[in-house]
Amino acid sequence: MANLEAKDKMSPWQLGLVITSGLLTARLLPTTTLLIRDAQQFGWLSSALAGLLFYFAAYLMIRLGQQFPEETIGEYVPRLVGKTLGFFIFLIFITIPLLNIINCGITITSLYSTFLFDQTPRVILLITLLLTVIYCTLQNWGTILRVIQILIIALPMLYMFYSLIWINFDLLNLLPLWPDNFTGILQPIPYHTDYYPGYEALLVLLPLASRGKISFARAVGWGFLVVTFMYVLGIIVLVGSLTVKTGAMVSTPVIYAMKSVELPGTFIERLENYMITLFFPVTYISMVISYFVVAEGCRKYFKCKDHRTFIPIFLPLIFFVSIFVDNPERHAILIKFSMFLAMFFSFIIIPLLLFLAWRMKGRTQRCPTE
Amino acid sequence: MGSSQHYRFHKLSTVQPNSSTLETLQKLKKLQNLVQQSKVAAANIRQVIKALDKVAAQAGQPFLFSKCLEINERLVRNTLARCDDVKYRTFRAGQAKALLVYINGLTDTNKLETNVIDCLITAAHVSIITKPTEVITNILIGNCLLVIDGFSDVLVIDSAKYEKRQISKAENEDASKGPHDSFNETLSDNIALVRRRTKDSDLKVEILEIGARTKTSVALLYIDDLVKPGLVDEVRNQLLAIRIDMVILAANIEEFLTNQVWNPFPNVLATERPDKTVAGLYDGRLSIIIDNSPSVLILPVSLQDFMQSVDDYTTRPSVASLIRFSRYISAFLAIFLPALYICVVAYHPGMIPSGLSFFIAELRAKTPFPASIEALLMEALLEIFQEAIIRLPQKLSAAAGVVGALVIGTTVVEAALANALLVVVVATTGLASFCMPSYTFATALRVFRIPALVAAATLGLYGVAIFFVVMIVYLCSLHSYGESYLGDLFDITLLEDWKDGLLRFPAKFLKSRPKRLGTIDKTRKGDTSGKS
Repeated sequence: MANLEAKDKMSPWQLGLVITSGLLTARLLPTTTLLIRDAQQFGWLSSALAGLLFYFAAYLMIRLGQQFPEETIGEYVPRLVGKTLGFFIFLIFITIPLLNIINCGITITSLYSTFLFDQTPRVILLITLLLTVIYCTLQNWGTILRVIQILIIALPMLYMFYSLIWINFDLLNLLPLWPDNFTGILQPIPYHTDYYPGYEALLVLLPLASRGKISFARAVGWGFLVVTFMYVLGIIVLVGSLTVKTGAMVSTPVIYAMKSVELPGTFIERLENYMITLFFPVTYISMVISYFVVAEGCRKYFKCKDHRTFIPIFLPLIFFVSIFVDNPERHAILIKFSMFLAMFFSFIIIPLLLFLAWRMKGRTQRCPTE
Repeated sequence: MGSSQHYRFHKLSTVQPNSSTLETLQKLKKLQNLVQQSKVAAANIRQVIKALDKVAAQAGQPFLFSKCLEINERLVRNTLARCDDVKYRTFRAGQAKALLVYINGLTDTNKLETNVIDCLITAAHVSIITKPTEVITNILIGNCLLVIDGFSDVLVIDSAKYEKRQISKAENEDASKGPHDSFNETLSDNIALVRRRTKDSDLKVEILEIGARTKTSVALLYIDDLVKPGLVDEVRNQLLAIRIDMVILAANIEEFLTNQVWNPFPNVLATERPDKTVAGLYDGRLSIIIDNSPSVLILPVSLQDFMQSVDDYTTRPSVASLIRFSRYISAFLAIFLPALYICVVAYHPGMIPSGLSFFIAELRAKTPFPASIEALLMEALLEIFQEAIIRLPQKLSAAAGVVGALVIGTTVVEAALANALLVVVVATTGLASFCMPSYTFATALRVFRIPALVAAATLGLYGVAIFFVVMIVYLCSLHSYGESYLGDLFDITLLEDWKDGLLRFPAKFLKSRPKRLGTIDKTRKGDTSGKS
């Protein structure tokens, strides 16, 4: 067809949109309890600091990607650290989005089975969700990009819905205004891997973006800024309407806060159901991006023609791990493992790779004939 | 009249026996790039020729006439290149050579005979033909043959008389304030209806013959300096590649213009309105007019083109935007309303107020079927009534509508086959699908109603959410000549197109052509005050 090929490329703004839409998922729902428990009234400050920190990690990834334009991490890592170590780093890299898919799948199906169903087995919900994710991932990037741009409409709708909890807001619940325990604010920052997941996709998506008037770092930065602002405001209103005590006790404070909203004189009741429904497309986007990143990363690493080859390969793994994690204890372990892996990758491996890339570039510049 | 070309395709391995698949693919890609570049170059060369013709001309004029007839003919032919409806007749008027140029269908040939030809020489309707196949075709068309002893050439005299329907009001796409004339079944009339609306020499009309036996004339219309490079070639090649013995409907052609043959959504816009066709051409689209069909095909199109009607541009922008937005809501309801009913009634009764929930439960207690079966039953009844009303003669269809409404509205409820609320839901669903400006698009929506219902009956709200996402992915995966069917709706790289998409901005903001169509000339010339 005429110019479909060109549509597989995205603009820097689209890259920013993709990364932003991958950040907000249902994964944050259970983690909010931990955040309120540790940071108490200052969860918003913790989220703001985490936003800054994770943007820094994303910025490092953009800088690393810019050292190797038109290449994904799987292609240049073996050149930087050797084949074996390169393979391990690549393995860690693809494990992170895979864990994101698993975590998202578990959270969203648990939400549905807890709040919307009484008896439907979670396996049924999970397999339908995974098949839907696969259906989208089997498309070309141009199509996936367009799906994201449509489904992301659910995000402002979700936030508007969430804003209804302002009805129960009480400023007194936010007191004291000055924190006396700064460690408590810093302590939950690692948990924010559930608030800001999926930006690792940059390492695969950068070659698919064409350079424009705005830099990648700025486009992605705007995305982080918007999401961080949403989180900060969201946590302020959550604590303000629930109190720290309640927020730290319930398993999903956001849903609990939504449950307590009553709109007298309106037709709508049980607003949390609508909210969970809106969480579905938002989480779905993140799952699709992660799955595409895994498949595209593997395609480049193994030099295959089509990313579709790798999609069925990971399906059994995702499904069986998701089924194995069938209780809150196992899920908590999985969340912790995902957190450590993501932190290790973002703040240890990426700076190291960037350092090696700079060193290699410096050497090449000194000895251009070599 | 253009003749069909026959292409011979070989396997890649035959053409490139010693190359690996990868090498061959690379070469093929290079070739594709070269072809694309040559198309762009050809378009540029045409622009250069035009510019050269303009050199000696006065400002604003395309060329300057000379005293030499051959040069003048070349200049006119260049300007009206690829306009197969333009006829050229050369003859001798006394001692001088003369040239007659006119547009078939738009020119009154009787006036031409009386005022021009009789004064000069009767040659406007006479042509010389040498090929026997063309001679036979001309006899079958209704033209007169003049064979003269001592001459091997045959004279064909244009004397065909067609029984045709007069140009009448559009029956399926009525507009309250827009023009009321519509296409009929005659190709030349239909081309003339388009030509009458524009005096643009860049409007090209290529006439092709399709159908091995019917040899139906098919006109391909486009604005030469607007349309995306390569698109005309692609559509032309698709048309020429059609191998079929007869073309009697526009749909015969339509089905060959898509690769996704099982896709229920239309990928070309069929219209009977000349104004819509001309608007489409100036957006950078192509039109296909098929002889003996009042439906004209416009392409490429996406979902949002099926949501627009002529009335959107005759009402105030704020009202038009509201109506357009309501059409999108209607499209959603036409698919998902019965499914949402099932969700609320069977899975999540807590989502509605307790009083209403009890009331529905009370209503449903009187019916023997589960909610899903009840809804399916009503859906089947709705489909039967819709089909019956369409098939019946116009006078009877109103009566059938009343009978249907009475049967569904009262008897079914009284017989306890369905509850009253479901009747309201199904009736609203039917009405929502009638809101669509395109009937073919509305029928496509109907196809998805049952799967949505099944999804809701199986998994409740979760099933509806899953089905909604699947539909979005499916619609985005459809392509019409490189354009995503739904994906352009919220594409942030096409922000300019948003002004005439989900909403309709005032005309003074609509200064650019749809960016998604990749036109050569992206801005609309002239301002809204009508000055050029």
